[in-house]
Amino acid sequence: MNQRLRRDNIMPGPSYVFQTQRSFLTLFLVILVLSACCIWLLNNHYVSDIAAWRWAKILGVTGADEFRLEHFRFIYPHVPFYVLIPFTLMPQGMQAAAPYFVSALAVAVLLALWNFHLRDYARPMWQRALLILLMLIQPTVLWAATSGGYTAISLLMFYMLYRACLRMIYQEDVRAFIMLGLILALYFFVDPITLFLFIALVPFLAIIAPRKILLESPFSVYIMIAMPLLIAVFSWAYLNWIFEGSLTIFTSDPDSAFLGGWQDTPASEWLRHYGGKFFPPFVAAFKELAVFYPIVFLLIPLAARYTNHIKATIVLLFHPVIAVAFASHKYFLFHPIEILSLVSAGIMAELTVIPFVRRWKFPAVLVLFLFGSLLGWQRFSHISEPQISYWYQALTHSLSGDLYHSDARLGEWLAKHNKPTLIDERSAFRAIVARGNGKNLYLPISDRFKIQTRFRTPRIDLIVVPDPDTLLGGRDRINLRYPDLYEEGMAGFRRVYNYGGWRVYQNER
Amino acid sequence: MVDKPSGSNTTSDPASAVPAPPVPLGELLIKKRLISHQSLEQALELQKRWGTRLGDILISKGWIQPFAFYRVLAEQFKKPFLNLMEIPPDTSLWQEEELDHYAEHLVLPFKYANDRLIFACADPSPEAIAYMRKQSKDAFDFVITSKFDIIWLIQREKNDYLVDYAVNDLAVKQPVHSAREVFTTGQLFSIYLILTLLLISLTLWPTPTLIGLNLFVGLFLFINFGLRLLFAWVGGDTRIDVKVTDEEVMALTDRELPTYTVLVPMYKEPEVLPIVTAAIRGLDYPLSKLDIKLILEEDDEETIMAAKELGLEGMFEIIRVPDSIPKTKPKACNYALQFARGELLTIYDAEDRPEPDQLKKAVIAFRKAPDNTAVIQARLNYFNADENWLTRMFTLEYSLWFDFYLPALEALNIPIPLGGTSNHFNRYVLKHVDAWDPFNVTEDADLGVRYTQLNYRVGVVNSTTYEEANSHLGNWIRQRSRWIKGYMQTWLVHMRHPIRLYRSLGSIAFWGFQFFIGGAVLSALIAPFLYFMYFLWLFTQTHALDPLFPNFVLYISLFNLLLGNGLLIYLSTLSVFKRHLHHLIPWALTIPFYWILISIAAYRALWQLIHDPFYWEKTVHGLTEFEHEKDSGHPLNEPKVEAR
Repeated sequence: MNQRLRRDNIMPGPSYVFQTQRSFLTLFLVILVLSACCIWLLNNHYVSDIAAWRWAKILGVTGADEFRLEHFRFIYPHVPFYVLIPFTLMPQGMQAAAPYFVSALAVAVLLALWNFHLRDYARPMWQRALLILLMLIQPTVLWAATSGGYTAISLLMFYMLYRACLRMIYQEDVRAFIMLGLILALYFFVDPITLFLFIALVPFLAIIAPRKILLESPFSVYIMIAMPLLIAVFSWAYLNWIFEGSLTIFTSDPDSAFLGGWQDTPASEWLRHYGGKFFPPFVAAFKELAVFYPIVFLLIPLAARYTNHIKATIVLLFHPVIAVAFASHKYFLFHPIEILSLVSAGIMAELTVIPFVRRWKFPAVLVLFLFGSLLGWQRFSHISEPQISYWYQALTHSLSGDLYHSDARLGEWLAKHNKPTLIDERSAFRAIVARGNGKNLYLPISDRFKIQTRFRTPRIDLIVVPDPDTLLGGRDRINLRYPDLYEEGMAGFRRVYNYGGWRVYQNER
Repeated sequence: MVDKPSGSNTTSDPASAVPAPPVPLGELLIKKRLISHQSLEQALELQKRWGTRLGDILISKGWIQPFAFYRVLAEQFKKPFLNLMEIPPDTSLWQEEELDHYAEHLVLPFKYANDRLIFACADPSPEAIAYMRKQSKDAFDFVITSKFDIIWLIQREKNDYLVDYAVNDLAVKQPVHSAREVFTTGQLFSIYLILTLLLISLTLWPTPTLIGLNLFVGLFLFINFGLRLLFAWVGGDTRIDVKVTDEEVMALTDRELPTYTVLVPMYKEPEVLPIVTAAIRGLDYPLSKLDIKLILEEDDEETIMAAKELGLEGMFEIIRVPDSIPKTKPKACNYALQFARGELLTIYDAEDRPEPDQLKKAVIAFRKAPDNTAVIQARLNYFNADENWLTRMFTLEYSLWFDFYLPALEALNIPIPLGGTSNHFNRYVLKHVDAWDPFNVTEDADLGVRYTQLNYRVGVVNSTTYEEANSHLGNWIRQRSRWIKGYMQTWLVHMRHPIRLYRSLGSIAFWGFQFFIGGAVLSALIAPFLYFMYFLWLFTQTHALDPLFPNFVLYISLFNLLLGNGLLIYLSTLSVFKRHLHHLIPWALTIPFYWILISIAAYRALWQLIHDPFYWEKTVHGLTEFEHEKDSGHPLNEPKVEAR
């Protein structure tokens, strides 16, 4: 069967390394384009919360006396941190752009990989160039590539996940199991969304797994696919026990990324409507899918002649939507676009195997891509989720001023007064990024913060505290430890800075 | 009783030395009522297909007694028939270095008479005649004898030489590749130096030294885990998975097949003798092209008697190995190798059940392989996988080893440690490299590495031999400790000159050898220390070990503990994928307990390496209560590794 598919040039042979200059050229060009986009956004005062927070973490951990991975805390996936560490070697002025560059790089790698796989399938160069261009103007892809969040790396992982699924459908070999299993495990360390993607994938394993093995021993199929992920989760729990004191901190800590957006439910329109429910978000996500990716519905007639293509299309059509429903049910998703944006990668994977045997099919794909992009941009302009909304406004040059001016100013002040400073990166992450380094910062992740906060009066030069009446300020650990500090100050300290909801107290001794 | 020579040749022309038989052999045999018309017709039919001599077919099929056949053959050639056991030849005419050629051509210098060298010959083929001519350098003649007389007589008369050859040939010709010396002076000095420096370092800087050791172990295991994943990935490639297809086997004609020697070394295993002979008869290969040697130890009267009582066909030959030290399988095989006649040669253990088309697949694999291919390893697996927990673990381990790792090693040009059986050799190359090391208790693993060092290639073929998995713990520990001891010997032998090894293998093969052979031993030896440290910490929560685990060491150790071990368990679950033994997959979760057993065997091996390096721990076979065909679900005629 596989040989026949190969002969008919339907299923390309597996190959995962860049072997040609053209793939590198694609990579280079896409990086250039996306970097230009990032510069445009940053010049328009766009600051991604997640990007700034990640970079603040990096500065805090690398600026500590001793570099320790546990300072990242095991309640967040670590790969998005690790990929940023090499950028600390860059000149300081450029470092803060690292999360955006990593996002751009991840999407560029994804597109280069896609180009490689499409070429493997013998699609002409102009078609590949057109497809890449159309993919780049998809709002979900552009947002992932330039917003500095996890989503770009997640897109890359999702593409590989779907390639593994396709391999399992078409080739049924042991490598498909290894790929799928290991990618799921690695994905867990990239994005907590993996757990929902996996749960949603479970029913589809009956479709994609080799029929012979399913009939012989269905249990073994699930073990072979799920085991690496289970090992990853167990390992994570174990690391939680070692470094955080309990096996389940990552499922119980309010700050845990593995809990998603439940803590911000009041701020999320989606969670307010669909949190705790299954079928309503399923239907809503399906509608969103239709808006952003009408091309998915074209894949059905394209795949109609081939059983395997139909299997792949069914998975792509329902798997992400079910994952949205599960994640909404658990109050995880802030907005369905967090998962639905990944469908772009799924479509990319699918297009590497679907044949365009008739002339009308390729133009139809292009038209639907374009149509989906237009609808997507239209939809993006109406999304109320602040981070997406700011991004859209910055892109369209309509963001009104620097939203985080006060944080930036605090950071600059702290940079000038580089002394041992007690500060919480969860509230002051933008200020830390503006400060430019983590030296002399006593952050809650470190032992020295814990030692200082044991004292009634910390023995430190500076204490930074936000207005406790703001959302972030209310969660600030210094505020929680010294509730009256912001308003009343502290004996032995005098206020040396007061601007935009931030106050800094300096030790008088 | 001796028939007088009636004819003679004064010429050295082989054609004239063999007078054209006036009566066809078949007719003569019928006339003497030694075979039936029906047998003759069948034999002639087979002769058309197999392309071998009629006599060989009749003997291999057991349709005629060899002794009777050779008498008729003598009559047909109008030559006397000679019973060499009664009329011994003049052994002063023999040249010791020619003994293996005598056995190969079934020819022996018998005596000088009338200025002619008279040979005793069992098969006056053109090759044998040419050989006699070459040896005589003058006029010659021959008499007919039985091939068994030739083999037994060589053994009887030249035992000392044959034993010396079997034991010492490699050690004399290539001492650097012989395990006769366990540790060379250089190695002992290196060990002494390392231990001394370690002790000094531990005394002066205890914590940094222990951290250094800890880091070394962590990095070693980290790389080891990575390599195992790489091997599994490469070995999972369907393109390298199937070398020989069923279509290629079907297309092969019997005429083009070479003579194949099958060595079956046995010791005190009379009960499995009928099983192994039946398995060999079941091979899809012209019987008359099989040269089967049942290699039995001289002191093993039990098995020798059992073999005689079976009344085996003439293709089976019993080779009695004289009692000598070391009493190892490789020595026995070296001994029997001197009687081998096949172009290709393989070894089966007594309990082996090779897939019927294995020899044909090996022939094709050799043809498809590069010219420097010296050996092709078939896959090994177990027919009693479901017998108990131990056999399940053993099956998971073997499946990973033979179905994934070995094909990967071949693809990556890393030396392949051959398995104990079912390795198919080019006999000439085997002789050229001085065969097996009788002092190495995993002689096959050693040979695989030696071949690579000598620029020969080791390949694998997609055919399986089903063996009996050890189902008894004590027996398993004995077997495993021998294997690990052999790996230690192999590593020590080839690491006598590391730089030379590096140059001869290249970097990938060198490091592959270090991690695959040396690494397997080292990881088994260090595992108990790691278990101990972990459980000590787990149950006491002591901080005493904290100084040994600075951050970077701690992270590597945690990675190894969680993801590294998890990965190995995962690979074990995948190991049976190609064999469709999916019901074993849940059992893979218990494999860490099996690793503990491996560590126990490793320490036993280390002890033996020092105290009794050449002792061959005999694995007892026939303990299983499983019957292969009935219980395993893998009938012999159905290869289980799926061809894609």
